[in-house]
This record gives sequence, C-alpha cells and structure tokens, in this order.
Amino acid sequence: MNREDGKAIDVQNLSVYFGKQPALKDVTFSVHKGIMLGIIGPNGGGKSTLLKTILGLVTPDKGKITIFGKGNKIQRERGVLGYVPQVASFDRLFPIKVIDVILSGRLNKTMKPFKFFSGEDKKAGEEVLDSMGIEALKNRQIGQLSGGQLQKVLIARALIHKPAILLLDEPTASIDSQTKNQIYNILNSLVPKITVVVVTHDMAAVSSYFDYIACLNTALHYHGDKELTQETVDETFGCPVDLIAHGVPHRVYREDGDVYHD
Amino acid sequence: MIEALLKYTFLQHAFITAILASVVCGIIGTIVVEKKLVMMSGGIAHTAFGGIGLGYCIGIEPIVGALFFAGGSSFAVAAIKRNTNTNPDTLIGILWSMGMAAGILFISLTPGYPPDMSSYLFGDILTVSVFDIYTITVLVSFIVFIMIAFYNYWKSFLFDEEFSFVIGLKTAFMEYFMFLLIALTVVVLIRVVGIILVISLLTAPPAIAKFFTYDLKKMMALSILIGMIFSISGLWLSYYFNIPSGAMIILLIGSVFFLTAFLKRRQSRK
Repeated sequence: MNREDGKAIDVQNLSVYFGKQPALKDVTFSVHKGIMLGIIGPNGGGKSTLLKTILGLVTPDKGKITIFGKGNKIQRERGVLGYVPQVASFDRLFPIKVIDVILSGRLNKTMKPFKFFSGEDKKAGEEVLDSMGIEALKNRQIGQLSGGQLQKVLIARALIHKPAILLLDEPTASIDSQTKNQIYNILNSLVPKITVVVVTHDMAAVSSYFDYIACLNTALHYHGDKELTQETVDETFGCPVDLIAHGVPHRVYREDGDVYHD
Repeated sequence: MIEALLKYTFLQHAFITAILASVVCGIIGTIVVEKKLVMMSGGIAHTAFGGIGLGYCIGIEPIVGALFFAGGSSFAVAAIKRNTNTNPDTLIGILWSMGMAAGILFISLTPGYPPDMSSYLFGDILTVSVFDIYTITVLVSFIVFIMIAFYNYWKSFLFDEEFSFVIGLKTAFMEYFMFLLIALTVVVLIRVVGIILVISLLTAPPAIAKFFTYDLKKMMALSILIGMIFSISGLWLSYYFNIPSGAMIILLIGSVFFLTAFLKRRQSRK
C-alpha cells in the first residue's frame, strides 16, 4: 500500500499565531487511515487549536494541511469530517432537544429549502441513539443532561453524519471513569473503518485505547506509537509527569517498521 | 373599541401593523435573544437613525435610508468581527453613537424646518400608511419564508456554528444573512414603536416565551402570540386612556415579563 494513499490527515509545517503568541509552531506529522490517534499535552499547548486548524475553523499562518490528499474545504463539503467539540463550550439553555441535536448531523452542504427530516433520517437517529445507549434521553432539552450524557449526544451527532475522520476535543473531560471506558470502547469499535483523532488529558486511556500518540506543546515533541518515555513526557509537559502511576506504556507491535518520528 | 376599529381606517392599519410586527419580532426576537444579539440590535436601530437623517437631507424616503444604514452597519459588525480582534460589543457602541450623530448632522444640514423626528424615535403606529403596510407585509413574508424553508439549517447554525461549518454548511453566509434579517426587522419596527423602543419588542416576548418552552419553534410561535396579544392590548389601552401607543405597548410587555419571572420563581420555590 502506497503510504500517500494511507494518509488521512497530513500536516506540514503548521504554524498558528494568536497575535504574537505562537499557538502552534512548525508542526509536521501525518495520521494514517483507520487508526486511533491521541493528542496529549499541557493546557494551552495548542491541542484544540491543532484540531480546529485541521477542521478549517482556524486559518493557519504558515503551513499546509491536506485531508486524503485534498484541501479541507473540499473535504468538509463532501462531509468527510466529523467533530465533537468540548462539552463546556455549549449554551445549555439553548432550546433544543437531544433528538434535534443528533438529527442536525444529517444535514450537509446542499441547503435545500423545506428540508425536513425524513423517516430515514429519523430511523438513523434511533439507531445511533441506541448504539450510544441514550434512547431514553431522546426528547430532553440539553440543559437537562449531565456532562457525560451531553458528551454521548455530541458523539452521536458526529456519528450519524458518517464521517471518514472523526475528531474529538477532550471527550472525557469531567466524566466518570465508567462512562469514560464506555466512550473509549465505542470509539475503538469505529476503527479501522474510520480514522479517529482524540485530544485528551486522559493519560490512563493512552495506554489502553490508542494506536498512536502525539505529544504537543506548541511544538510537536513526539509522534509515534505508544512507547512513550518519561523523557518525552517531561519534555512535552515541561515538568515531570508521573507516567508510571497512570500505567503507561507497554510495547506495541509495529506493523511494518514505518517510522513516524519527525 | 370594536366600533372604532370598524370605523376608523387608521386604527385598522395600526392593528394590522401590530400583528405583522408581532410575527416578525417573534421569529427574529427569538434568534436575537438566544444568540445574545440584543446589544447588536440596539446598535443597528440607532445607526439606522443616521440613514433616516440622510434620507431627509437628500430627499429620499427615510426608511430607505434607514435600510441602507442598518444593513451596512450590520455587515460592518459581521465583517469586523470575523476579521479582527475588536470585540463586537465595543464596535456596536461606536456605531451606535456615530449613527445617531450622523442622523442629527444630516437633519441639521437639511434646508427649511427640521422634520419631526419623534415618530422615528418613539414610533407612531397610528399614522402608518398603506404603503408602509405593503412594505412591512413584503418584509415579514420574506422573513417568515426564509425561516420556515431553512428552519433545520438555522437551528443547527444557531445551536452550534462550528459543527455546522465542519459538516459543510455555509455558516459565514448564514451569519451575514442573519444580521441582514435583524437589520430588516429593526427597520420594519421603527415605524411601529420607534428606534428607542425596538429592543423591547424583540426581547420581551421571547423572554416570556422562554419560561414556557424548550423548543425553538414553539418559542418562536409563542413569542408571536405574546407579541400579538400585548401589542393589541397596548393599542386598546392607549386608545382608551389617550396615551402614546408605542410607550403603552412597551410598558405593558415589560411588566408582563417581570410578573411572569416573579411568578415562575415563586412557583419553583414551592
């Protein structure tokens, strides 16, 4: 298999500045199709910015991003991308129900007048509600949900859209560990049919659920399989982070000896 | 009151206008309240005054001038918001005051006696002409059509603009369009209750509706109904007690909001 075809996301020399402050500096890496990548790093290290730049929500100051070899605008319009933003970013008082949030994932760039959700749309909604285990929440207003429940709703919305690449921004922030595991298991089941990229603080999940990790703190410190060393983590976080206590890492079978380091 | 209504066309016009205005402010007001664009709407309203002044000065229909200024300033806010770091709140404050000042300037430059601006500032629903009603009907029909035809896209955009962008919706266009609709609505409402009081009609009915529903379209429908009930009641009361109609409507709706808020709080405490 030609490596070029396998690249779901290719990031080249990406730099993003907010005013004079660099959020991302010369970041280069690629994400292969069908894997689950975790992006870890300290707060303010640019993880969300990286995600948003890949999605096209932020315009890079330097560098280039391609998605399956094409620009992200084209891929967005083709519905290739799926996004699960942080739960904290939502206005919980907004008058919208769970089922409406989820069905909105069925919309696409063709804005047809009088587009109402068909029986097929609604059936897809039921299916994804079931698969996330939240059928009971169907008609609740989003303010009536817990953080974990809303998280599942947002994932359901992204899934119903059937993206080829799913990007999640801290999907397990402030969620109990049982729900966390549920969510990671669901994400795992999606791979390798789709490619999943998760920004996370969850060091414990890193060992069990991810194929590869990227350590980001404005600059990319490590991108490879899960053989994180204490050194790399310290370098990324800028201060000692207790790896051992979180049960990281263990050896991972390298498929073809490909090196992803930069 | 009913006989008066049947007899006097000016009252009929006032009623029709009140109903039309309620429809549009139920829909647009819901969006304004949910997206926290109240300040922006106020800003557009006051900037429109500049257009009215310009209209008088160069001899065109003041509402047309208002439309250009309102549309132009709403686009300016949208564009500047998207492209720079200036806080839109600040921007609106600047445009607000400049708009009013421009209006006063233009009026001072108008030859002859200065026109009576109070009907634009405070509204005069009792002097609405047939032409005004036609204009308002066209605008209201347009807004209602756009809202219903693209309802699900609007809902997704209003709830989560970023996600909508990611799945391919044209969110930049929708944002500009939304601001345009707000500007149009504001200009329509100027004739009814005047610039200064536009805010109340856009905010109080949806705010009251929000106590009773969690569904966006029900909130819009309820806002329309509330707007109709209270603007007609306000008209009726102003007719009976011979007080300015615009002011009466606003005081009535505002009081109902506070009453509802108070009763709802007491209810949740039991």
